[in-house]
Amino acid sequence: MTETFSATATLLARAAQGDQHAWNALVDEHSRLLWSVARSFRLDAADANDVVQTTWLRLLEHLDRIEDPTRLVGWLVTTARREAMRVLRRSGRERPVVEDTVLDRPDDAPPVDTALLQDERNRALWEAFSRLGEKCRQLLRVAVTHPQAYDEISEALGMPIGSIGPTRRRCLTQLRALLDGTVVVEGDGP
Amino acid sequence: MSAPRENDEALLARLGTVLDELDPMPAEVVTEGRALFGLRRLDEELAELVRDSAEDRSGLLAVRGEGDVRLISFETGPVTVELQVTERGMVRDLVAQVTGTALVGAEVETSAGRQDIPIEDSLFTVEDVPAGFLRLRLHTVAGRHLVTSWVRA
Repeated sequence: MTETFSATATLLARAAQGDQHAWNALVDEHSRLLWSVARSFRLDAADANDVVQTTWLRLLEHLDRIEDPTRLVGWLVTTARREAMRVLRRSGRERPVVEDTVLDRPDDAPPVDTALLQDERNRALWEAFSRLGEKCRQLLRVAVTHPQAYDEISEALGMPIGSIGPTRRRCLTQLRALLDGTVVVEGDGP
Repeated sequence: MSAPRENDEALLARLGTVLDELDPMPAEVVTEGRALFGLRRLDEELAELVRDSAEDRSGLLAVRGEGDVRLISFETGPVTVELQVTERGMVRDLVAQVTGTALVGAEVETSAGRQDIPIEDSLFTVEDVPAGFLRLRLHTVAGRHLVTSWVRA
C-alpha cells in the first residue's frame, strides 16, 4: 500500500510538471473506479462518462494543490460523487436527499440486459446486487476495483474510518441473503 | 445439493467479473481522460468554483426548463467572476462580470475551441455557446492569465 501511495505521489508530481505519461497512468489506474461510482448512481453511459471526465478536469485544475497524495483515491471518489449528484440534480432526476442514510432500500430495475449473461449463477449475483441499497452497491463496486483503499473510501463515502470493514461485511451478508433467497426485500417486485 | 459457500474475497472477485461483463467501461472513457491533459497550461491561475445556483436547491426536485438562468461564481484571491448562464435549447448565453482586477481580454473555451469575447468595462456577454463543458479565460492588465473551473452548462 505504501508503495502504491508513493507511486501516486510521484505520478502526481510528474503530471503537475507536464508529464503526459504520468497523467495517463493516473487515468488508466482510476477510471474504472470513477466509472463505477458514476454508474452506482444509475447514470446512463453518456452521463457517467461526463462525471468521469469532469472529475479528471477537477484533478487537472488541482494537480499542484493535492497536498496529500495518500488521499487521492478518496478525493477522486468524493469529487465523482459530487459531480454525479450534480448531474442528477440538474436533470431533475434527484429524489430528496436521503442518500447518505439509505443502506437497505432496493432500487429500480437494473438498466442492463441481463440476457447477456450466459452464466446463470452470475445472473443471480447481478440481480441480487441490483437489489442492494445504494450505499452497499457503491461500497462493493469500490471494493472490487480498489480493495486496498479502505480508509480513503470510507471517508469519501461519508462513513467513519474503521467502519467500512463491518459495513462491507454487512453488505456482503445482505448480498448472500438475497442470493440465497432467504430475505424478501421490501418493495421488491416487477 | 449446494456448492460450498464462497468466501468474501471469492464473492467480490466474482462480482467484479459480473460488473465487467454487464457494465463494461467504454474504451473512450480512458481515451478522453488522457486527452484532457492537453487542456492544461502551466502559466494559468485557477479561479475556483465557489457557488452554483444549480446546486442551491437543498435536495428538492430541480425544476428546469427553457430560459432557466443559472448563476455561477468563481474566485481567486480578490478576483471574483460571476457568470450567468441562460439555457436556450442546445446553446447557452453567457453574461459575466469580473471584479477585483482589470481585464485586457477574455475568451470562452469549450470542447469545440476558444472564442474571443469583447469586453466592456468588467462586464461581457457571449451568445450561442454550445452546451457542454465550458470555462472562461481572462487576461488581466497586469499580465496574469486566469481560468475558471470547468463547468458543464
